[in-house]
Amino acid sequence: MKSKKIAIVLLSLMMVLSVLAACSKNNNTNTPSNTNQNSNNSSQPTASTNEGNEGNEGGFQDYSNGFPENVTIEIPVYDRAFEGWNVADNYYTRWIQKEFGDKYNVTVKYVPISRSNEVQDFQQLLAAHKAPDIIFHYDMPQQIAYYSEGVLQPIDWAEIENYAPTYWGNLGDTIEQYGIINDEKIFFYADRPSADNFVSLIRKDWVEKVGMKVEDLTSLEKYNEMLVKWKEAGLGVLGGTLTRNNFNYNYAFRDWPIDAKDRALYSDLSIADFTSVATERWLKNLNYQYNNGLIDREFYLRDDENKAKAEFVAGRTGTFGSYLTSNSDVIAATLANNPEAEFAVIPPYAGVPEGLKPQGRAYWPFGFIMGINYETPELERIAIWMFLEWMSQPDNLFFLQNGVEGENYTIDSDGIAIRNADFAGESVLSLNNNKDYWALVIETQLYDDPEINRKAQIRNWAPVGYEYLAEDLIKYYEETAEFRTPDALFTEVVETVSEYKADLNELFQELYIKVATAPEDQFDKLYEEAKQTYLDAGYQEILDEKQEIIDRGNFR
Amino acid sequence: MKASSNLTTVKGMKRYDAWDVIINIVVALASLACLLPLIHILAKSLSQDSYVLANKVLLWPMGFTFEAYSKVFADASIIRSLYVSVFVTITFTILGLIVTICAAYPLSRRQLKGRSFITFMFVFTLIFSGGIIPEFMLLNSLGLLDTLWSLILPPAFSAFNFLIMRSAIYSSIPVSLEESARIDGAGHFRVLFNIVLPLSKPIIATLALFYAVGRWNTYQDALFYIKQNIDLRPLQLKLYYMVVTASESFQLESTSVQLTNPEVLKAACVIFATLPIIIVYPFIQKYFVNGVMLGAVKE
Repeated sequence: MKSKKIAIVLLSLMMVLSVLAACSKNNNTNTPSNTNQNSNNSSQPTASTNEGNEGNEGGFQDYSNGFPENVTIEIPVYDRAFEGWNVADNYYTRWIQKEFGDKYNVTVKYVPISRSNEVQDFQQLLAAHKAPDIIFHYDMPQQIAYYSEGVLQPIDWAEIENYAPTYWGNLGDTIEQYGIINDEKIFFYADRPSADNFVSLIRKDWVEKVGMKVEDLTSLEKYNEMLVKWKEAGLGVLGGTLTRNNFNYNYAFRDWPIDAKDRALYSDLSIADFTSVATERWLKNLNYQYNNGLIDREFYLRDDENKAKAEFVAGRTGTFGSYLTSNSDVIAATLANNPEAEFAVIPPYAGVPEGLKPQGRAYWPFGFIMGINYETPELERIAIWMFLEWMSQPDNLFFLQNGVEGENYTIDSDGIAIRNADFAGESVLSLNNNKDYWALVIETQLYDDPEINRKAQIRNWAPVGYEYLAEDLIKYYEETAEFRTPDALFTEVVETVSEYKADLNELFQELYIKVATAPEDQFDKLYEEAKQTYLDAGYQEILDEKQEIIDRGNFR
Repeated sequence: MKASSNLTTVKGMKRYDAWDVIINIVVALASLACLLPLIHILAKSLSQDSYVLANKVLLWPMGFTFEAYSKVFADASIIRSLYVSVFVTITFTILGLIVTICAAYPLSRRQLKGRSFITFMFVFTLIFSGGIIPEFMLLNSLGLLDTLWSLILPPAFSAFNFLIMRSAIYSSIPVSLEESARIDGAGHFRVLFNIVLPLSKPIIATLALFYAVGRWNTYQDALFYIKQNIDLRPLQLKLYYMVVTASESFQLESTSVQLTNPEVLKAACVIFATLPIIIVYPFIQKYFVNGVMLGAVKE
């Protein structure tokens, strides 16, 4: 008995000690990072003092002939696990080293970030003090989350303008408009030309089989009418996917014109506005389609694109939304299974109830949102600006996007690079045309002349023989341009968003499916209850905090 | 079971009772549950992509083709990952066995003073561990991140395998055998190499299988520790990256090309990564049941 007691005491002592030890360890690891941050913060004023003295001393140091000592910059690059592609070491990374690195005495090191796991990857690298010099994300809330963690250092716009004049010329306005948070200059951006190749395809042969034309689909009412006919003819149903993570589902159901403050309060890609009138209209329609058997009965199980694609390819559903790409397999696979299939683009009006406008979410004018790692010293930061400047040069950008002339592509009479799809030599491009390298400065390939650009887009997007899909897509995109608006961007951190986002996303899935699949007569009761649950789970707090920020006028 | 054996062979005829039928059905279902997914993936890997996309391939390939496999073999990075996996698995298994034997043999001998305390220390780690984050920080401080040693050293000693080994030696090798060797003038190492190890072959084979299969199939530590140096990715991690598509959609990113690997290619990779260890298994299987039984006998 006695020895047992001693063992218990010993064990509990050990546990207490290990807990305490862990605490002190945490403190230890925190201290250096804090000091780092402090030293960075303290280095910041020095930088601005430099800026202040700029007039006297003639500005920033000149490194146009290269750095006196080798500087290593670490650039993150998305690793999408393309078969046969090494993201960190390939023809183009070596070319960048040769053309940029060797010229300025800089070593450019690429750090692979798994596309499917990017936040976790960055967090681990940050914890190990091995994170790259640039920290990026496509999504503003996540980039703000990085900022809130204190891992981004303030930047000096004059420094960018000095070392990267071309880059600043392209993006200075965007950076000045969107680069500030909590009165600190933090973010810088890559350009995003206005273009979108997300397309909703419909089985044209089915539409015609029930005696309609695709052009007849001018409203949601007409669209549902067609779905009823599909069902009666035994053709198939509307395709559907689980709505989660990105909440742009109710644009077509919103009132027009929009109220800027109202939009700032509710419209958020990362948090569903479950309680708004637009959501109610959307849910009501979904509920109608579900109860009348017009939509895929198991739409809530299609939680990734491939599952919805399988239904469309097999000919069980008649619609499918995806990016239109020239190497897409969806059309060929559908034809292999249903040789009679024909395809068309669903007009944007087909999803809009009568009396409303075909609204959509406009992208902000930037692609990548970037920040400089808090541990990056001054020289490396300068080397990064010089790197962005080098990449902004049209010749360098064109080479990264297209490869070697005569091997990867040939130039046609319009001046468009025609890709040689069979080329498999040393300078072969990555599966997404090296985008992960040049996306640091621009999000899509762009030709100066809009007409040529349009032609190039059609070539890029449409599978051979289906150019009309890309043409229709562009036509509709232009027709609905005036109804596309970007979300508001807060210049203050909305703390409650990061606190409740994950829970609310889960809850939204549960609640919306419950309401959408309820019998029609119970819809109103269940929706009221669900709204209350959603508000209580944290959405009310988010709305309250956003309202305060809106009242202060801190949004764009 | 006893009842059923009483009922068999009446007048030379085999009779089955309900239990036999139920047991057979359960065993059949259980083995089908293991086998069918494998056959499904195999069928997918040998089919044409358009049928796989439409979810039409179940257990028999449609549009039979070896194209995906020829792609897998042509991909230098996959072959490289295979080498990494083989190297890590072999090194890890050898090292793991050395460490385990060196701990298990002394602690199975009664004359070692304080052995119960030392054993307790080992068993303690079986129940309590530092957790993922402290382990990550430790490896980082040791400079082991992005090296193959991060996959070999931390899991090399397994307290669970140690316990099996210790009980096996304890129960199968009598102290008198050791004493007789001593009388003939053998030292500790001679006893270990000439008496204990030859007599422990079955248990060593079992543990080698445990270590090797475990190492071959695990990718989680590689996911954490192999970050920057993608040449060092073991096969399972490579597979993980190929198969797992991003859970967040790409609404914010503009894409003008298709970004996922074809389903058929994923299936071919799964088969490619599973096959080697399946091939090895039959050669060690005979030791397997034997070894586990040995380990199960307690003092």
